[in-house]
Amino acid sequence: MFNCVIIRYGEIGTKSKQTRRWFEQILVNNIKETLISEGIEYKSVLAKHGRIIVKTNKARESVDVLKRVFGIVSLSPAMEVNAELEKINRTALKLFRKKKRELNLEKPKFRVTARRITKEFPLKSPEIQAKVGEYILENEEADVDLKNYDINVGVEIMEGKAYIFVDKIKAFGGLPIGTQGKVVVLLSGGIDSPVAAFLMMKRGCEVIPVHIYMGEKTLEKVRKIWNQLKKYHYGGKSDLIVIKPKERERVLRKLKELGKENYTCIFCKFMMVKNADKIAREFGAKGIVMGDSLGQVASQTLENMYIVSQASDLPIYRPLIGLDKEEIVRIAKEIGTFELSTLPEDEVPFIPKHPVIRGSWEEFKKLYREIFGEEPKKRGC
Amino acid sequence: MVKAVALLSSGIDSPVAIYLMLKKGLEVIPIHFKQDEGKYKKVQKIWKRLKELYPERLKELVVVDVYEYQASVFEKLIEMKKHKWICVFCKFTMYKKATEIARKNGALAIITGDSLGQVGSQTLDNLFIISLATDLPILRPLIGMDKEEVVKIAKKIGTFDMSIEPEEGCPFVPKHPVIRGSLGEFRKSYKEVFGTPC
Repeated sequence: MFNCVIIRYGEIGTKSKQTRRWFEQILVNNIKETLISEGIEYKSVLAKHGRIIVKTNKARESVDVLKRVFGIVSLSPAMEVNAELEKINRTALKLFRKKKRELNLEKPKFRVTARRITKEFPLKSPEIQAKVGEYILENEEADVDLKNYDINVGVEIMEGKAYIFVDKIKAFGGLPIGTQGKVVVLLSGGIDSPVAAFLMMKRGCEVIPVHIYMGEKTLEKVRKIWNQLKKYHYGGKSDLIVIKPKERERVLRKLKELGKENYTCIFCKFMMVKNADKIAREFGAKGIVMGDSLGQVASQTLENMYIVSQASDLPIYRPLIGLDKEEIVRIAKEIGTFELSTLPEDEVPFIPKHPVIRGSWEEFKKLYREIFGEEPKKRGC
Repeated sequence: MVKAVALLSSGIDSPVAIYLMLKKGLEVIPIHFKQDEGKYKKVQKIWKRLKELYPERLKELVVVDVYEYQASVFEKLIEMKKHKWICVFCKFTMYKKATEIARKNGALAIITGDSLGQVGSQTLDNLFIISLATDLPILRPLIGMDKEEVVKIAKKIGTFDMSIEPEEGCPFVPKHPVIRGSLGEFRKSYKEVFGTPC
């Protein structure tokens, strides 16, 4: 029944003309890539007048996958017909009936919203609304109610075509992936880091996932998490990078010798960031993303964050820093990573009983020198 | 109590960033870089509002005069025909000052209202350069949010209406600010402006 999808996008609309065209182009490409990789056939994807129209006979399926593409605010499976009142009326009635059946309502309340995006159609928007509304009332049991409606019949007219729809599906918003460059994300098996990755993707970043190896079970889990995240990453090209840190054994042994096992977690994180930094430079990424939030775990203090921040000159982005645990869990559930994060993982044998809560940079430096024979560099210009 | 400093402007974002971190339990010392009385008055109103929400955690407003602290830097950049770099230098020097104030007050991080892609100058490239101004962790609670979400919070906490009151535009902002700043070029200009490496 539907032959196209109308896609509305948000923030892009506020950019300068030149930037906007570039953004639209990336969004169009991401849409195409999504449809292709999901095996959904389409005829064309075109940006015009602040909308993107996907012509396809698989409108429903398209909407289901495209609602995961960032930059999109909402989508509607729609019928494209020639912009003639007679055709608009009949199509509107057909879609109205279909929706009525779906909702299983005897006498639904409805309204019609019309917009002329280009102005060549002879009737003005309120006139279109009145005509279409009347036609539906003549043919179906229904009441008009502009505020408390069960069905909204949308009509958008541009360039001699009319697009009629009865559903408007909300998407995530954000910016198209690829508009903001690349960042490296440290992906663990936990709940937080996948959400952090998701939020940076949503803001238009291509994400390079790096996992520091802990064991096969955890790796398996992280692969599953990344596969889930990839469903939001159309347009991005990266694959999971797994690093087995060579220096880990030495660090653990030395800390034990020195009786400073309480610094294990800080060293572990420091080395993670150092590894992420190396990958970032290789791939031209401009930041490192971590799932830190304040005070969740004893080791997530500003003192410890300070030490870890020195491991790279790149900015460390912590999109969860201001969120509550419940909000993080809510997002994790919404994007389908929560379940995966609760799968079993390898036990980490070297977590100390009492990790240091307020690590001191001076102390850290001393230990670092003992282990590596040189001082860690402080971040700076 | 754990303390952080925060950059506070008269815009929509920074009050929300500060609110979120106050809510997480941090003590916050807000710093305003003052350009004119109009924006300063707005900031005072916003500060009062945040103070009502977290009377214990929000500290006194620290005011830095832009004309004393930064104007000469901007003038020098204009002289060098590097005016498109003004926004990056502005932020960089703000972070530097914020770091100083943090050290004096035992604060351990800098809170900013940075978000990605909203303004031409808030790009990953520029944030990379600006972040090198400090060794302190920079907390950017809005980095993963859309404008719409930030506005929603601003309305909820009552700072939105204060922030959108009309104000003078920034007198220093160039027509075409650098969007993809290169670190090499920044370093060169920095040395020329300050006579020392950054």
